[in-house]
Amino acid sequence: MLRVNHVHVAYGDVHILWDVSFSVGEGELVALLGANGAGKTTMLNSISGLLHPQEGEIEFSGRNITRVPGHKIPALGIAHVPEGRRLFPEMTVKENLEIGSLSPPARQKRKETLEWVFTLFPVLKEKQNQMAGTLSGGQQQMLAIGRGLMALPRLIMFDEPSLGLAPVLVKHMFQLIKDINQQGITVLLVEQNVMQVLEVCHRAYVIENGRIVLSGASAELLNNKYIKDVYLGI
Amino acid sequence: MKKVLINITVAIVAILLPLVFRAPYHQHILITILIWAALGTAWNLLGGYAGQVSFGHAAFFGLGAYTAGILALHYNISPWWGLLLGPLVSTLISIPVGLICFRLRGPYFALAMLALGEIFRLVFINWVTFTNGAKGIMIIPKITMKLPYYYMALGLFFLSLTITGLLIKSRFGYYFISIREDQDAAESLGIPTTRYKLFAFLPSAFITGLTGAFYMNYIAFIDPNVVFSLANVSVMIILVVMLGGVATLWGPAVGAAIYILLSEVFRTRMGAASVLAFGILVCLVIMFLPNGIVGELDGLRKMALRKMNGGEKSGLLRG
Repeated sequence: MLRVNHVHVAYGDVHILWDVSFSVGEGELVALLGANGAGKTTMLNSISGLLHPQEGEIEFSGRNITRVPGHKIPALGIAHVPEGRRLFPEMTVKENLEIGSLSPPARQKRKETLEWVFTLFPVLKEKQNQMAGTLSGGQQQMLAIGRGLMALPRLIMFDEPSLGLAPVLVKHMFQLIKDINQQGITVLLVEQNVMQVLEVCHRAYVIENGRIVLSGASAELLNNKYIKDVYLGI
Repeated sequence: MKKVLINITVAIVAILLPLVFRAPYHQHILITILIWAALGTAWNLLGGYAGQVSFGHAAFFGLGAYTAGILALHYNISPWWGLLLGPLVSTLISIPVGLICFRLRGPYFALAMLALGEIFRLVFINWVTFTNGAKGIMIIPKITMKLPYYYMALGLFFLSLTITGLLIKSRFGYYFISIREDQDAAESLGIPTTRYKLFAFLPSAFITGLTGAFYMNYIAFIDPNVVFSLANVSVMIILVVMLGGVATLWGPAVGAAIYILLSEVFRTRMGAASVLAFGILVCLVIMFLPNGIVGELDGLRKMALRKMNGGEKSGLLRG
């Protein structure tokens, strides 16, 4: 479904991603794991058109989207739940959700999608008229996810959804992402939380200093010696 | 229903006001207030709602004024035609300016716009053959009574308020605010941000140019240091909006009324010290009323509502 081929990204002279290639199949839950500064967010921003790679290609559903500008990406069926949530704090919860469904097909189904998001996150229904800035961190993360879902995406990308959440909530969050995936939406998950992510995802890629160093099914990676040594510390 | 009644009352008061204050000086103050209310409301669309703070709106004000003035100076066409051409020139210039400057964000955008205003001022001072340079342009007005100007200024303000009000209550309003709150998030949700910033910029420049053209006809004298002034136009628009309430529909009008009245009082009572007194007042407002007068009142009203209903009632648009 999503295919990234030999992508290089640089900010000016600073080369961030080196020859990165990976793919996400229809219905999969794939994770991109790595430490701070490995280039995970840069990769997501390149897919969602906020950045454009210097070299390489990004393909979505057989279409080359490497140079498609950011605002046209959601209409193709890709939603991006950005790092740090990036909500509109002075809009209400409901308005934040509504603005997630801008493309004409999503707009037509806005009412039903809203109901669906409210069943996934009942707390958002309760607080729908409250300013988004007044929600707690966990609720804000739910709102960010809900906003992404409002676009009725075929692929949804999460950038560190566990950031700043309490351990209990982190577990809950990953369960939710798994549920969303089971409803038929393909998921690309970017995380540092290696252990918990490997428990929910199908496959994962490990990215270090802008290069993919390891990949495989999650069960395989959980038993990989390198992963155990470097990321799990056991 | 209550809102409609309030609007009708405000309209009737606005129409009757100059019949109560008949002295030309008083009517002049009322007209000045309306000019600044129109300018502030137009600036607020771009600076308040869409969050693109412009320090160079004098460029569009001056362009409108000079379009009217140069029609009279070189082509012997009545400067009233400037009311048609002035806003068109301002809007046309705002397109390339927007496309270039909207690549910049926050303070960088503000500084680029500040430079723009200054560039226009310097060009109009030095391009003597076309603009008459620092000597300025004087016209002989056909209408000398204040009353017709008052109603024109009222129409101008009404136009500014209507355009802004309609835009922010449509989906454009949501897009503007989302761009202000988080441009990258807006972009990644599918909002073409540059295009929507332009949709806020064009009407803003249009009305600012129209007000400039009206100013030329009303004051009958312009020079580049007046209409392209950084302190007395560009910054003053921002102060009017800040005083009344950024991103509130009625804030700029309230701000303009208070600003003009106070500055008249200070000027007549204190002479040169008035600027100092005014500066202190502005500092106090920024410190204690950071949301402006309308913004703070609205906050109080919402708090009262919340207490009464027990629940939360909030909307996208304040004021």
